[in-house]
Amino acid sequence: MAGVLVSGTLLVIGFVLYASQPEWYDATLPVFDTEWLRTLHEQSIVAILLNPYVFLYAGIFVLMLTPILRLLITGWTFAVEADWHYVGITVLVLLVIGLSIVFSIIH
Amino acid sequence: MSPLLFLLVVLSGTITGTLGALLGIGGGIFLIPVLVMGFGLPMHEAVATSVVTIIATSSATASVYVDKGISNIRLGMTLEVMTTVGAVLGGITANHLPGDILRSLFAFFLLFMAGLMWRRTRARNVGAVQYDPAARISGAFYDAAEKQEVRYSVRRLPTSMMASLLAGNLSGLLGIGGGLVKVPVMHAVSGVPMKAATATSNFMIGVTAVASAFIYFSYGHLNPLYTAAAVLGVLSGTRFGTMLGMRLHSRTIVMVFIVLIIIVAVRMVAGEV
Repeated sequence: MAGVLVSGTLLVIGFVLYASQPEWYDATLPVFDTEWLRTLHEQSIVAILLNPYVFLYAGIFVLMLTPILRLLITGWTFAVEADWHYVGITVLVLLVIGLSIVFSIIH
Repeated sequence: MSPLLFLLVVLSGTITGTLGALLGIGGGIFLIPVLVMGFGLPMHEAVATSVVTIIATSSATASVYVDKGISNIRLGMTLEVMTTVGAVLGGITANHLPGDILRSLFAFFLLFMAGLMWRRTRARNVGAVQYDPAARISGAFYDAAEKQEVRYSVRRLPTSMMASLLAGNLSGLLGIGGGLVKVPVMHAVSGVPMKAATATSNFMIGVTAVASAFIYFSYGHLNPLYTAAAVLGVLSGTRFGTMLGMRLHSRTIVMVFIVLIIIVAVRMVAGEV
């Protein structure tokens, strides 16, 4: 639940910053890639903290991490219960997800 | 993005989140056509938005359903392995199977499951679930609508595992199918109470969606404004959906699900999905 709350808060901040920009209707969307990250890296910390897309992407990214965190907590709970069969299954699911992400990005 | 468009996307997300939390589905079957045909979003951006909203539905509902013990984590994790393997196989076989035949087969399968669920609602002892303490996977939760604790055992686990493989396969092939297949199979084949089936499905769909979400994110397909607006809508919708899910009687939820899968099956035969 904490992950969802953090994500939702970041998204709301992102939208408030987005709507406070001049001519925000026509703002061009930045694409999340290495070029955008490099541009961001060159900006001051104040500019980064006032960039709505930083908050929007951060909110989405935090949300995407929540199922993985949930799997880790589930695996930990099974380990505490000494249910090694399900610890194994949880590790297997994490492995398959990790591998599919790595292979898809490589291809 | 104008304020009106923002509100419409949030509203679409709210409907998606409500349906998702109530029925254990991702809601892409509703959200993707709305984003593409209603708001003119390119297909890959709409699918990317849908994938992230599935995670939002799953994470927001899991915190409620897992805490209340309605989600069956052991069943979910067992089926998740098969779903993930199926999704990988679906990706590999996608280019070797004719889409029309696949859609027809899937539509037939959905109608068959609708029939099974309908028959179950007509049975006199629909509320009675079988509980065997010696079963490999069992579960128990308090049903607030029925005002009683429900204990059950998962029957025909291998069949549910094969159906999960199929669900993952169809997700990989057609981009939909996760909850739409798993919920009826868990309920009608394995005897899992409807509320536990939808809650378990809600737990699983987020895990399944993670891999795709990272891929879309890394390719830059995520439109941050549409995705964020839809997610905010979903987060509010899931609160309503989980509340409804706990208050409605199982039979009502089954009937809503049957109507949904018949609509999807008809749209598939018509080539709209």
